[in-house]
Amino acid sequence: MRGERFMKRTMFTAYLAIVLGGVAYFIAVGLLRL
Amino acid sequence: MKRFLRDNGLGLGFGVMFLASLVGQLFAGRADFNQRQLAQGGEPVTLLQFLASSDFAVDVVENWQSEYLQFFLYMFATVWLVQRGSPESKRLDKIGHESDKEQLVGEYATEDSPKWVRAGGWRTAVYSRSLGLLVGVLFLLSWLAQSISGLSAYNTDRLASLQDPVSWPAYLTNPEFWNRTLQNWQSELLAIGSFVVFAVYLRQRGSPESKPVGAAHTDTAETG
Repeated sequence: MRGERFMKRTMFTAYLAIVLGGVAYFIAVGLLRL
Repeated sequence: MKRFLRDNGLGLGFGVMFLASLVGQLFAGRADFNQRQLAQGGEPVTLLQFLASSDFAVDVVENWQSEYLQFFLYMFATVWLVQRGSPESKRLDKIGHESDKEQLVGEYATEDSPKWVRAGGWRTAVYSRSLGLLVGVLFLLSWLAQSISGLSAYNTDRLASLQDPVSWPAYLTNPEFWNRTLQNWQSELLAIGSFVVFAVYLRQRGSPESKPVGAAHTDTAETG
């Protein structure tokens, strides 16, 4: 049960990291190429 | 492990399909970019160079912003707007934020309710809007990313044709920015509106996005 909760939190964090990390990366790419 | 995969099939499945599509977009986008480069007498770019290009960035984030806007609008619209007969709508007598009893907040919070719901006060107020807040922030951030990477790609094209670059505020009123933005918004809004209405009369057996196959067309908010 505890392991399951950990895995679910990991998935929540992974999705959040993909979106926030992606947005930060693409903003940085845009700024560096300005 | 097997059970974890079964229990989390939607989140994992869509995550894998997303990554595969993004990699596909990277390859196809680079090939398309290089074709245009060669036609204009420019140098082709490597995969890594294309990954770090504003052309790739703007093509990705212009789609992200519209998806998050879609979910943000849909979440708020479905609080106040209903559609008779649609499984995507709530019941017609439930328009609005609903009572504390229905939402299991305040004195109706249970032992299993999330911590911030049991805490009451500002924590419950924030938590009650947390999904909308997150999706709204993700929309604004990805739209900001679109405006910055779009400006960069736009100015690269202008410089190549010996035109002066434009500033960020000027780009925000530029037709290129709004063409990229609105072409994504219109498709999301059409998809949502049509799906809500199609689901009144059509069914998909076993899907929670559909009513049960035998449900009447007038039944609202039922999921099968």
